[in-house]
Amino acid sequence: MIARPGIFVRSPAGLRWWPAFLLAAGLWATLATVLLGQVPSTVDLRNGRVASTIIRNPSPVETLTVAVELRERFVAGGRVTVGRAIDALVSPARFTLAPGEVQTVRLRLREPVAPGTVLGLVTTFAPASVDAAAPGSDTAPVARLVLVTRLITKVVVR
Amino acid sequence: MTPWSAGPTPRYRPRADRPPRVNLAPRFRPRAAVLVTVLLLSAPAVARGQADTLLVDVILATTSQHVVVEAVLTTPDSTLLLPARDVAALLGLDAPPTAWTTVAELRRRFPPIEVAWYPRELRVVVDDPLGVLPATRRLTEQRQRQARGTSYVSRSGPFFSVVADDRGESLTDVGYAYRGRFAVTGRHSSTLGAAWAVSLAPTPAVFVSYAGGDRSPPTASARVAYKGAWVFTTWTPAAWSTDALIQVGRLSFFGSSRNAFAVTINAAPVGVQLGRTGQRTTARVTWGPLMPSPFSVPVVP
Repeated sequence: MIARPGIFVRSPAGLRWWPAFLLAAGLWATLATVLLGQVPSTVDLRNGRVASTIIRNPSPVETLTVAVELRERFVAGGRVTVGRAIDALVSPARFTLAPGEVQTVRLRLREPVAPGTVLGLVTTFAPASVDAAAPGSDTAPVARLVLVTRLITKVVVR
Repeated sequence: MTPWSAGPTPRYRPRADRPPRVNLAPRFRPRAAVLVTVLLLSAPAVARGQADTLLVDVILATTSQHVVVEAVLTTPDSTLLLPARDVAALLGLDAPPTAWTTVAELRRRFPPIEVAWYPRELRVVVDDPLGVLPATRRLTEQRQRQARGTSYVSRSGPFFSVVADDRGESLTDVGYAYRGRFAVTGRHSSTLGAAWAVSLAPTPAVFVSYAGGDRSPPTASARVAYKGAWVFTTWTPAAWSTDALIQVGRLSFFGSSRNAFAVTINAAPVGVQLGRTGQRTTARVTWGPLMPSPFSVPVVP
């Protein structure tokens, strides 16, 4: 066997995976950049008072429709689940964000919630383009994959 | 309990999957029926105002006061309806006859003010640079009363200044101020000698000072400004005097131990003042943006 000079021969075998590692790291960083900063991780809310938070569209190109609701939040076995919707005024509950836009969202409880309770602020991001007809859908069946992102952040009742 | 993935999903349905339109009967109009059904189903929600109810922060910029109100954003014209009672209380207006007001209505009633609606921030900012709103006017009058009879240095730290002229005379000031609450100053003039002063304002309502010097008698002063009342007293070994002012809305009463009195009515753009100094009574009527000062008695020089 004749060994040709080159990096694949001289380098340890583990370095052969560096392209995949870099790709995974890049994807992770991109996903983290997209998800982090969209919604603050924790919002403090007092009974009868108004709490404010902001929701951002981090996408540089895509307009998103956003739906916000306040629900019961449970954690069991490391899995987060949400329960019934809390009677609260979420202002606004549905809106559209252009790329890079930021919307202030205010919350006010309409039912008493025990202090210390952690509720879930369920924020659903969907591309605004789903409301428009897919090109060519009027003449032939068109399959379209739509990525919907849902973030559940904490709302701590004080 | 609902899994976290449950909830509203995008309403997407390829047109190819939709059933073809079929005229079931000559008089049956699907679009009209759907429209009427939607209106009937949505009527309770619209009546409750839940769908378009927004928590809007209304801010009066000139006073930095604000209130969060439940406003309604109408569709499709996107008119923001603000609860008139809450807005009137913030702006210092009388109780309104209507339940709702709008940004355009505020601009129409008070042309000099600027009202801006920022939907992304859920804020309505009212700016009143000319002080036409009662709340702004009250704050301005309160600041005037607090500033009257005081010397105020807002920044903290030492200060120093020298003035000299071509005669060879000079004036030197040196001192220290702390957040407008405490100040001590020393002055040396080549013509008047040395002088010093110390002042204390523990709260914005109270101001006390004491001053003395080589060629000036010791002088003490005290000022109290609380809500609509203002009292200012000065004392020297030779005499003392007290001025007082009481403001109730547009009406002001001023009295001084120096035998001076004045009644002032400021209803911009008209101002009326009646004063008496010694044995002379004077009246004054003004019209325009400059109102008579309630702290002074009108005189004809």
